[in-house]
Amino acid sequence: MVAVTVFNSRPELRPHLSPDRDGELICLCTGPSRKNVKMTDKRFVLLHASDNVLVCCARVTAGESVMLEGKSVTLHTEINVGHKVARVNIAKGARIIKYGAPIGSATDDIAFSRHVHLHNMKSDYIPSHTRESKQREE
Amino acid sequence: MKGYLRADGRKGIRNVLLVTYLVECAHHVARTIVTRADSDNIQLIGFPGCYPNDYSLKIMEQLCTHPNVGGVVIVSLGCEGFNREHLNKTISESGRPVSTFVIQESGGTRQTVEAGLQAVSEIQREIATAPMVDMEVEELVVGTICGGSDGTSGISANPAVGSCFDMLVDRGAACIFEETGELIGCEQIMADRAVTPELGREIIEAVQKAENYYRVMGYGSFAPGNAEGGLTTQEEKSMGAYAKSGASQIHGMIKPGDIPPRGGLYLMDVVPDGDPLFGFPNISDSAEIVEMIASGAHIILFTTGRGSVVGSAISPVIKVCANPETYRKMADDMDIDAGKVIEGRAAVTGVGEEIYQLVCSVAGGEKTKSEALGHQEFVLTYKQFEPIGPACLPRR
Repeated sequence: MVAVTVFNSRPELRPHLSPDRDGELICLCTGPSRKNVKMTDKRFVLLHASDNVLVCCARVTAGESVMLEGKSVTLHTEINVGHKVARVNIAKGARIIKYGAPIGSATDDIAFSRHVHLHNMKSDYIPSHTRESKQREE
Repeated sequence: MKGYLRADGRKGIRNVLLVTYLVECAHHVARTIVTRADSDNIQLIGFPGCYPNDYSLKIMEQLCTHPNVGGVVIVSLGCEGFNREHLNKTISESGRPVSTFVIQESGGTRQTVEAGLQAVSEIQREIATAPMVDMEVEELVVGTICGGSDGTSGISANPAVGSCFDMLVDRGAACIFEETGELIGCEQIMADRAVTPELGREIIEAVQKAENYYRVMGYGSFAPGNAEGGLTTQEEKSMGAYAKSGASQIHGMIKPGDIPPRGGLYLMDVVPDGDPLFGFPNISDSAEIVEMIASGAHIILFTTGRGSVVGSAISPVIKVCANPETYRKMADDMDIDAGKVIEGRAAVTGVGEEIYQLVCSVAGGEKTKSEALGHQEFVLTYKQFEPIGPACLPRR
């Protein structure tokens, strides 16, 4: 079995990508965590059971209703492939977890289903930059 | 598969004739020779700087004696600092035909081009008879890099390359993954995979060095396109990049130009030692590709989400596209569609197997997309390194 990433030494908790795309449930986690995964639109994937973000696999337009974690929500903004949305409410200062590992911290309170990106999270290591600005960290 | 047996005993999968310039001032002459010779296997590399530098000499020597290279024509202006005699001697001692032309002593542009073309055609005839012998997967050195990463890279193409790496390492090949600056945040996890605790400590220190270096530069290894593709932070990009390494133990850590001593998985520490002197560790993806080739890589597995088109001089580049939308836009440049993992049409291991099969075909002579399109990008700049410590290559 090939892990998406091998952050966890316990094989049963390693995420993988053997797609389980029957019906609505799209769950990319193996092991005990599978039971806890709620219904989610197949355009979003959960990479690891402890993640607090979902990753978009196909573009979703603003105003569309989608099922995330068993709840139907209307997305406020367009979400493109590769982008993240909050799987739960995330408090300002909390770690953002993806692949089961911290990838930065929230710079604002982030509500469930909202886009998680440069405007509301930052690196815990080195500032990110865009074409417009050298640093996006306040 | 068959390989070209070199006099030094190494085996190559291509039979390249390099024309290399040793300072920007000799670039035009070298390029004119390559353009007029007009053959796929006659390729241009070079170094732009006038000041001598141990790193660039070492990398140039390793490239000119790479197993994919059969012979070399060196073009020097004459007054630059590059140690052309040393380079010529190293190539000659490896058993490869080599000719050096010094423009200031050869009568200028026109006459150097003519003399260079004459040498190219002689060397071309000589290397055409290079013996072909059986070559096994375990004799391959394969490097991997990601470029133009986005939010899909870490969940499709990168883990698929990781899966391919596991297969290659299992069969005894040497695999290299790199950019310690793009592995910031993964240091502890990598250290846990090292074959010895001492190697683990070296890995952690290498990543700390990278973090300090990039902090001085003011930017991480994070391009605007990464953010447009959904990646937000360096460590998020790192976690995705790290997936290229697969699940094998990490058998060693090398620096650019060091050849892996045997099969296994190796991390390349690409960040210069000492105080930051020459700017960003790698100014572009091509600089990283060149370093892995200098460490003996026969083939490069290049994963991309946003869509890179680059290839390389010397060694073929296999492009693995992570993002299904990018694949549809740029299919002519992509060898593998890993985006089907995102769309649920394939499993990571299936794409890993597909990459493995393509590695074997390309090693057997099949051209990659970038090769067929004529991509032969090359970048070499200044750096400085201390030799690796004794804990970096544990005995097995």
